[in-house]
Amino acid sequence: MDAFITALHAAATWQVLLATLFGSLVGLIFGAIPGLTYSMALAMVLPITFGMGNEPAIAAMLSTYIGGMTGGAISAILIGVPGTPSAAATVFDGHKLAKNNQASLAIGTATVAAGIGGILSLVIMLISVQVLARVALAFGPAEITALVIFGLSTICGLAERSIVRGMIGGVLGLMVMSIGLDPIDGVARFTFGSTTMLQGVDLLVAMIGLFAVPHAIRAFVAWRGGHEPAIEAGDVSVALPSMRLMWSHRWNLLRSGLIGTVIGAIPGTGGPIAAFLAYDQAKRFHKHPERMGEGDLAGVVAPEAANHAVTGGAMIPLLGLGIPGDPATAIILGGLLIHGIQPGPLLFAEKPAVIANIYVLFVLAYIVVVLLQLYGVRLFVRALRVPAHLLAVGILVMCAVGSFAIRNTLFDVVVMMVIGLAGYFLLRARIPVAPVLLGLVLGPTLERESRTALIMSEGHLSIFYSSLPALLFFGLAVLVIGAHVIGNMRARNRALAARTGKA
Amino acid sequence: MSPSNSDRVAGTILLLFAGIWIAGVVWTIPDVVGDGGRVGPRGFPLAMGVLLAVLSALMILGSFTVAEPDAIGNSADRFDRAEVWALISTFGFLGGYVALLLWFGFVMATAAATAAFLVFVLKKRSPPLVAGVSLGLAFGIWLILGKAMGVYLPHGMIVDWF
Repeated sequence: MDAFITALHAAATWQVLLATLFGSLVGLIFGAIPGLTYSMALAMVLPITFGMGNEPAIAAMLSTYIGGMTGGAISAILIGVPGTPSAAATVFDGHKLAKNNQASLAIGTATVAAGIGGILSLVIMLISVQVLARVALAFGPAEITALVIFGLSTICGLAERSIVRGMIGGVLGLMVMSIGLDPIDGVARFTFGSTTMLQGVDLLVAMIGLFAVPHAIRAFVAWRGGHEPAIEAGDVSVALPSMRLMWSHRWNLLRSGLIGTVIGAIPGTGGPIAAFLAYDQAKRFHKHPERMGEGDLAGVVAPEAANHAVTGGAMIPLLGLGIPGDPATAIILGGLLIHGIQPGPLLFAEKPAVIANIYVLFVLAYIVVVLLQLYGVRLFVRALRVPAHLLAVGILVMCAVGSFAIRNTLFDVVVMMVIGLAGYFLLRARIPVAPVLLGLVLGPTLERESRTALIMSEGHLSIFYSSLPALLFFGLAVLVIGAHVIGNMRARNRALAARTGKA
Repeated sequence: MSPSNSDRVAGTILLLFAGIWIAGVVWTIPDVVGDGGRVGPRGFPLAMGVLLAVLSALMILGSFTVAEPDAIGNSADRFDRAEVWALISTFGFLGGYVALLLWFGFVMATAAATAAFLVFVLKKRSPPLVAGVSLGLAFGIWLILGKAMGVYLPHGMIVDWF
């Protein structure tokens, strides 16, 4: 309890409030503009947090994440194009409502549902993450290696359609992170005699390059090719839904919040799956399912509550085990590490105040994001109208500033350019970049822990299969990969059969 | 280029990269001597290089055997002029910007690089737009990040006004 009171005091400073406001604003703008993602927003905001204390930095990161998730609903409702993949299910009914001149109510309801979904997930997170962390306290290097491999197996979920391509991305990320001083013996690897390279490739520099540069290139390609989307969004205000209206959706909110939290806690899944599942369940339990898709508020409440509940769910493996479940939490993990916070079971035992801070800042971020969305929607609609190629110029400048700010060297800007170019070519080869990010984040831990385990066992591999938790995580990894391989094969066969049938 | 051909090209490039990586690991990273059971500094990058080689080979093999339904008939696999232009523009801008940052510091470099990019590359001819975007970005970031948030911005070697 003392930790929470201290955390409340720490959150009630102008630095934290300003950082939350800034993060929420950036997140909402990035979320509202189709094509810009909250992962990109996080990668750009992270370097800016370096000069901040821990609380403002965490506040900025969490509010960017939550703001990005929330902003997606604006474009989904107003123009029928989801700002983020998580808001895709909101389009069905949200855009219909906008066409029926109920855009204000739709945005208001989406915002309130988002806030409720997020806070509900926080409550579940509060309970479950403690249990998970207590269990994980007993883990040694072998168990952590198995856990990281389980974390890496979620590459399958991020690999879109081809597991081989996803794995290539993951391996490339692991390779990049092995550049620099080796973590056990301190031997220089691929540094080519450069002292700057001894520290290796900075995680954030790589993230900025991977996420932001390919986006800018695509925006220029679209503009040059004459197919830049013209966005026409009229002015809009927000109408708050009545208490009675929200009460009538209580079961929908609760169900969708639970779905979102559970899906969010499973690494490699994320917002879009949760939103579609919740939408499907809302339709199933609706008294008039035929109304869903025709502009029913239940079709806005369900996906918005679910995809926001994912934010709390995703924090469970991140805080409890130190394993990120998606690109956004991977970036947050990178940011926490830079601020000297190592998420995982030890954090609960050694720094409970930090955990309390994170919980309080999570709630604060939700409050600020909801208020900003309700009262600043006109600003986000204006941001939607800025041509993508002009935004891309600003993004490139921010990429350079962000990369430079990490270690105050222009060398990192050049590294960011190289990684950005590589990221673009990977995307062109249909190799997704999200697994690269997972490899970048988990690479150092995987190498350090696996080598430590082998040192402890004097080179015997038996250390990896002599403990139950390690076996459990290896088993889960095999299960995840197996399920994805089978799922992909089935989907491929179905699609090929459909094509053959058409032909 | 068909998706299968594109996979073959990408797979071959990755396979070559894996080969160069493995050679680099073997030739440039010393292994630990004297402790037989230990995995030295070479072990992890070597394993990753081998894994990449195997996966690249699988990618190439897959292009001969399995047709991806979503990729069939996808014409977006070839580079067109707009894409080449975008790549040159983006990296030309970033390269020039880095050089300007080095010499003139953040504010001047940002204003000059963005204005030049808008006028010469994006062909923007509206003075308010060019001035607004370039000066807005330069002074906005300098004020908010540099001054208000204390983020260290590049200082120039020739000119260092801000």
